[in-house]
Amino acid sequence: MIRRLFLAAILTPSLALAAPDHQAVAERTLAQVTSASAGFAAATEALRGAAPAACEAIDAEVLQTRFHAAWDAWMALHPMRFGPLEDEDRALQIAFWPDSRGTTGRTVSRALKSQNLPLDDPSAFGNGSVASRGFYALERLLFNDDGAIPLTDPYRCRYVAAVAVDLDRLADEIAASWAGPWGTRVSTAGAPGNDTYLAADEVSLRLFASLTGSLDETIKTRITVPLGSFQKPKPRVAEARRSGRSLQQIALNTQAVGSAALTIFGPELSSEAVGQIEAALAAVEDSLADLRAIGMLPEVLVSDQLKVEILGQKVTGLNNALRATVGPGLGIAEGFNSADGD
Amino acid sequence: MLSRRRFLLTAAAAPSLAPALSWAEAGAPDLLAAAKTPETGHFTLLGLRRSGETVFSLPLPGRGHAAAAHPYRAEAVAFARRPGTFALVIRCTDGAAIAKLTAPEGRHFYGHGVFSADGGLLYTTENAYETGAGRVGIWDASDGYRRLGEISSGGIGPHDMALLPDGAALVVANGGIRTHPASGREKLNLPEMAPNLSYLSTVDGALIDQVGPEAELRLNSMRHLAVAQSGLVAVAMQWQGDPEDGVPLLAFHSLGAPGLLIAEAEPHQLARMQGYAGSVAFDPSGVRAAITSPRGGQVMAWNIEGGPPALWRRPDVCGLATAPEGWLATDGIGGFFALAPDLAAKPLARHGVAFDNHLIALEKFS
Repeated sequence: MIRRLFLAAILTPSLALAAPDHQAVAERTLAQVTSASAGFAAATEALRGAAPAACEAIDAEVLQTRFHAAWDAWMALHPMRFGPLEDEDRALQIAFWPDSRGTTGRTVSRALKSQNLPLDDPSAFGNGSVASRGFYALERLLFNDDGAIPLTDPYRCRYVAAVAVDLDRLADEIAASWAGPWGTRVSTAGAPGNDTYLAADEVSLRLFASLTGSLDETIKTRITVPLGSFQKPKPRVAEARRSGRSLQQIALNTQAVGSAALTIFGPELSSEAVGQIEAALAAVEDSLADLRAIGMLPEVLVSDQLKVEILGQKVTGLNNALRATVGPGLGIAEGFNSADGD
Repeated sequence: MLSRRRFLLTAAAAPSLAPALSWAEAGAPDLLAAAKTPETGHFTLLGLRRSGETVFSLPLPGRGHAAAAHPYRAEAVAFARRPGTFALVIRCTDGAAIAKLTAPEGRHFYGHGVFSADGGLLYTTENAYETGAGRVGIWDASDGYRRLGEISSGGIGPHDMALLPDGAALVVANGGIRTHPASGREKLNLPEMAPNLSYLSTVDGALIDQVGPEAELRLNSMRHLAVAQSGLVAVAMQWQGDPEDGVPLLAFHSLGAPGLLIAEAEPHQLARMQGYAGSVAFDPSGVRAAITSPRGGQVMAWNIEGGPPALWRRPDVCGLATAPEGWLATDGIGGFFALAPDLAAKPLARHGVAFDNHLIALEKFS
């Protein structure tokens, strides 16, 4: 028996160091999510500052820059989608996606026509349909198929302001919640009285599922669905295509997932495992660079499908690398029940 | 060959010959659950108290599923993973397999079963896979679990089933999905899929009532169900379309009612369930029912009398049973929780096992 174990230890490349320190993972998770939440709160505050309700007061260029910066900051936070992001469905209030039925477009154009949103009442507006708020609604207000929309319609300008205020509120709530009750839950994982995380490894598990789920979502909604079939690609369902962010969204998502995995889980993994994640991340970045060299994502879906398919494979490769290293390295497994339907 | 009517009556009247051990002698568990021990990869059948304490842990030969508990003898039926052809009757005092049920030629089990109220019969859902016809197998629990015969389940792909409180009818969730063991769990008939809830007489097997979802919810496979003391049935469904569609996954029905009452919620809340409900149970009031989604990591509960649904999030949550204060829930990392009627959760234990899909209550409260 001892002999067999000994052989197994020699023959199997070790992916794990000694016992993983889940408490340390929880601490790094909190640090990372706190920093990303602060970044998002600062970016939405800046966006809000650039979105006055009166059209004449808007500097369109500054507004656009801050719109992109705020969305970028959201993409850095979004893969850590639990706690305050799930409470009150804040993640969906901020970014209603995937929107397979195209509800956002219909909701926004209906609102512009009927002009019946409670734009001057932030609390009523914040209780309205998620399709009328958040980044995807804001994108519809700022861009159409031809590019940026001139901000001259008073209702549109007030609507933009209301969405910016709403995003800023949500960002502040998230930051406050991580600084408050959710931060305590994570930092006291496994302690008596913690009803959310019954053991320290539950934070590791939650984060791991969130990161891999986020990549799964990118593969499905940002790559596979717009790719459609070879005969019939669907460039019009590429995410955030009106504001030209389709490829950027994929880049930001994979970067955020990769960096969270390396920063938070990395110290518990063997150098070989870290190298495997880094290599998979580099392959995604190479593929993104290839695509950037030939154009924007919605167009490339038609002109060079193969390159987009390769990107999909590389993102899948990153997810496989995470599953092959983090799971065994931290002694955590993905859902026993979710993986096997009944 | 006895007529269908005759064997049903005969079996129900047969006396129990051997003295059997009671649940008290197995440590008086309140609940049964199948589980996997991650370190060893072994599967077990657990007897649990409502407090979260384990009273027995018995080995199972493989991933076991949906144990059916005998009403008074310490016997549980563990089914092989779908599409399995055998089930074991485990004596819970010592873990001995006292009987093995083998599906007849051309049949496999769907993984659920239920005992008659007097414990004399065991009913199992089965697939006559060459034709795809759903069957309910009938076994004589008072005579070594001998097969007595079978009746039509009233549809394709019968999954879970339960007895109505008066014992006069079985209610079966026919998932509507045709499978064949040669192609595993591959779904062979989605274009024509038509799930239904069928009520079958326990006297002669006749179809008493049947109800299915409206056309737009035709792809909602009716899978698991629970019955309240009032006879109200809650059926949990699994959506075969896009998991993000955010369709309802719970419906209520009473025998004789013209249609299903659909449990509605905001589409984005439903979308979080990922089109998949794993278990369903009433709370003791019998007016609230909850469903679990391991894929979405979310439990939702509705009151049939109205009001918005309650929500609770817990990754890989799946097992759910009625308890005196509300519900008990289990998950794939060994979490064992008490849930209040508003789904406020209190952790009771974290076991070193992965709990399988279902948590079976030995005593009914709803």
